[in-house]
Amino acid sequence: MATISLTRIKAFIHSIRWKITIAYLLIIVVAFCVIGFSLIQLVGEYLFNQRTRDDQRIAESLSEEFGGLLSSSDVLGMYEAALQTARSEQGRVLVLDRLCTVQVDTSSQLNGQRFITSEINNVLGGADGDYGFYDVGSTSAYWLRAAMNAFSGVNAMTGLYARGIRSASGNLLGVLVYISQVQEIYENLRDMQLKMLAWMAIVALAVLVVNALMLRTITRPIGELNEGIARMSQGDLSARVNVRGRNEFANLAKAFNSMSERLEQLDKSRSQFVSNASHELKTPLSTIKILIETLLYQDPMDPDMAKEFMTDVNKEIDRLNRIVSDLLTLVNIDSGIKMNLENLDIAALLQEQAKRLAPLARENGIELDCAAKEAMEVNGDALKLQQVVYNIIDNAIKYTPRGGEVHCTLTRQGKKAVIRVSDTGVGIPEEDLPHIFDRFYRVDKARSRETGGTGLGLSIVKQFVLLHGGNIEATSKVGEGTTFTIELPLAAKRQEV
Amino acid sequence: MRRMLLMGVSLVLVAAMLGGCALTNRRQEAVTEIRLPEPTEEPENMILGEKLSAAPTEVTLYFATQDGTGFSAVSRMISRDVGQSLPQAAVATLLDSGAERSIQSMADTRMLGCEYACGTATVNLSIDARNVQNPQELLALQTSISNTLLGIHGISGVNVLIGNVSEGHCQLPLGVQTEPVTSVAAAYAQLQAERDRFFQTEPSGQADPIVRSALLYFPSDTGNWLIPELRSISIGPEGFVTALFDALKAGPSQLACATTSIPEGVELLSDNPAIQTLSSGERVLDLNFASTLVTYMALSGLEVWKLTGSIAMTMCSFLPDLDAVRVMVNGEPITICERGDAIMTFENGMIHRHDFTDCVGSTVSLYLVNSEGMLQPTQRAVSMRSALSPRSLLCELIASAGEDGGLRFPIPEGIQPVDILGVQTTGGVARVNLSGTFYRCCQILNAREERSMIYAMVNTLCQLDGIRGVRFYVEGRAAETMAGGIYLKSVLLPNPGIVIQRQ
Repeated sequence: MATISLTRIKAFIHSIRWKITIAYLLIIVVAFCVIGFSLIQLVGEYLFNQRTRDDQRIAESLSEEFGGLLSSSDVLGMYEAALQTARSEQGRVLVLDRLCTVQVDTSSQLNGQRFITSEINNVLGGADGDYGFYDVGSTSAYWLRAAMNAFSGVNAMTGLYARGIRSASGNLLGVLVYISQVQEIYENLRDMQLKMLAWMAIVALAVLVVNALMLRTITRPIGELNEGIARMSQGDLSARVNVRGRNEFANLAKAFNSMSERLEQLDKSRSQFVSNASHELKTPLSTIKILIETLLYQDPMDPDMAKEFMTDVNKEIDRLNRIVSDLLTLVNIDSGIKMNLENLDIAALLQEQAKRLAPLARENGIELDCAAKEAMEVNGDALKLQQVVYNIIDNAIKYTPRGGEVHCTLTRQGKKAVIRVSDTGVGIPEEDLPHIFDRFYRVDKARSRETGGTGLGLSIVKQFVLLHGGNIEATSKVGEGTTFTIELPLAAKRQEV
Repeated sequence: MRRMLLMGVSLVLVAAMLGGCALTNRRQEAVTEIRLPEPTEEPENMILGEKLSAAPTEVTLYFATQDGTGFSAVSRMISRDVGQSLPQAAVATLLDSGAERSIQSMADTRMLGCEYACGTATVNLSIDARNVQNPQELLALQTSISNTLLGIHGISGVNVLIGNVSEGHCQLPLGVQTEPVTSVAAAYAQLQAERDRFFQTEPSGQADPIVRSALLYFPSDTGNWLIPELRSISIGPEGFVTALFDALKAGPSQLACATTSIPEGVELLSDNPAIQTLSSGERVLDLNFASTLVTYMALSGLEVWKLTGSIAMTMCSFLPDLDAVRVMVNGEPITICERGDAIMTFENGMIHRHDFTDCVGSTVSLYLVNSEGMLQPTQRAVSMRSALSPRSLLCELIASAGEDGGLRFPIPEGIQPVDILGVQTTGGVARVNLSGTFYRCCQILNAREERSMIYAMVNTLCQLDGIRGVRFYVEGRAAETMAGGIYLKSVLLPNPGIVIQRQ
């Protein structure tokens, strides 16, 4: 159980979902930190500067008023004025002599004690005034300069403004210290910081949720695709994925489905092909086996009979040879056959093949004519194109009854050379037409074998035509005949002419 | 994955640098790093006893003009000696300078005494003051003195006597002057108008009362002093004597350290005592009490000298031309009484004002400390001389160290008045020289006790005229602190913030 959990955790950590989540979180945290704290810094500086100006105004007013009072040691006058200001402004006023001894304290705590800060020191050194922020310790006995943006640990944030008290002649008599409470500002800033952090947490949580939902939407097709691939890798070529939407993942799913569909078809055709090939190979082998066994076990055997048997065996072997030869051709085509391309005269090639088959046509009582007067050049493999033309005309002769006609024509249609071979044969049923180029497909299986066909001829023809960038199609009517049309692209040179 | 983690950490660090630097608490320099200013070295200043090097005080002197109807004001810087009050010095200067710029009587007149107590001054002039051409000129002399003294800070009433006798005008007592007179002629005319209204009986039979300020002398609750209290008295048809007697009988209204001089229940046998002139020419007031006076006095613990002194001082300081008072019980005058160890005798029962002028005391406020460490002013009766002496006040404070009742002067045991080696007042600063014993004893004080002790002394001394701050020395040397808290090398000003007023 623990192993499973650990594995899952590891898988999650290595998943793209986790990485995207971490990236989002980092972006949010960094953005909030930078923006939030910069904002707080700006607000804090504004508020503290405002307070500084207010304190400066109060301190300047008091120090001017106290010039005469301190020179005449009118402590009661100073105390009452300081107390009035302290009460109205919620602050604290100290009056120090030149030895930094507190002579007036509106809180009456530091009288007689020495009190020094860097601001007071600066004023004693000649500065008109100086300001600083301090944290008053819990004992009020020590004062430390505190950062205005300190996040924690501040007991009582205090602003301290020191201003020199001078006589009418300008001599420094002492120092007026005005202390104001800025803890409220500090608390507000701290609240802002806490709220900022809270908002950051809320936003981060919201982003996590939205991110989880989005990632789920995004990664689901990937998962399904992954699952489909896994099924395919296990041999299940029927695996398909759901196609949702129109995005890249949908396109990927479509491509996957298309690929798997194609693979499935290929697998089926391969199975069919193997089945057909086995069947085609098995038939002559069975015949040969029967003939051989008859020769072996029938004793005595008439020599003429034996010779006839041997002749049949020879025929079957020839047939096997053709089948194997055609299969090899197809295998070569599938695995990328080498083409010996050259510009050749297709009219001459057509006439040559027609002439080659003319004896067969005469033997079968069929009239074969060839109308290819215009010379046309195509860029192709001569042997393969010869085989194409030969097979088509040969088929037409075989499936045309005695007294019938086979016509071969060559015409130019745009940039294509079009070879038409039409016969007045038995024709092909309409339902068989789409399959006549399939391997081992026979319209009339008995007749086909009688004629010595392997069922691979048209398939090879079509592959050869396609290899030349051409096209082949057939039109037929049962009882009237069949027409094969082969379109081949003309050679470039010829086109220029 | 590692690269991603590294990137994440880097981003967080950048964020921390940009914004998170706010998280740091930039505590900077401590106070101890700043050097405190130090005073310049002072030579040893062994102050012993009491020295007054007060800077001359500016006083406006009012000289009566030659025609006796107005005044000419002249500002003078007046110096004074130890034990001499500012009013005393001011009147002496006024009279000495009178020959040049004022009426003749001012030049001839001498000051026999000046009682400065409780914010009032009673000036006793020589008989030469009566050598005037007309009553208005005498009024001019009196009001020139009262105007001068009323201009001094802290004086709210001035009584001018001639030969320890109050001088009346227009058959009416002048009383204590509380407001400056701008025109002698107008003042005299007002006196005449008051006389007319007071003595002219209205158809309804009621005379208009007159209002005068008088000094009522009450015995102090501690010590053998008669403390004057300034009181406004309305005098109606019952007469001056009855009005004053009733006011005395009512007891002090402002003095916290004085008691009544006439026990409750005591009555005069005569409703309207009269002033009679003896064959010797002396004007005497007979006050005849019933025999129950002795009983009431025994019950209240009132001493005879307090009764007689209070009555004689009050009556003679106010009633015009009254030389003496005879206090009688069932017609028998009191001719002898005891005041402490001294025995006072009165010939034929004639009690004069001068018999008790040495008994006139004043009040001071001692700042004692309550249980919360706050200072509370406490009124004490002291001699007039002590009321002007910083050292005496400090001794009074030390004497209050062991007091109960919630208020005390918080000094450790072992400190005596002699540990106040000396006090020198110069330039508004009282320099107090303490003994080494005082310093050593104070080492055990905590911060609050030290503050209370120091400021009890500072606040008490700074109520005296001419003292604005206090500087402490130990055996003539400047000491840093007494117990570690209060810095003693500075002149310490009073601390009004820790003073609470009496409820």
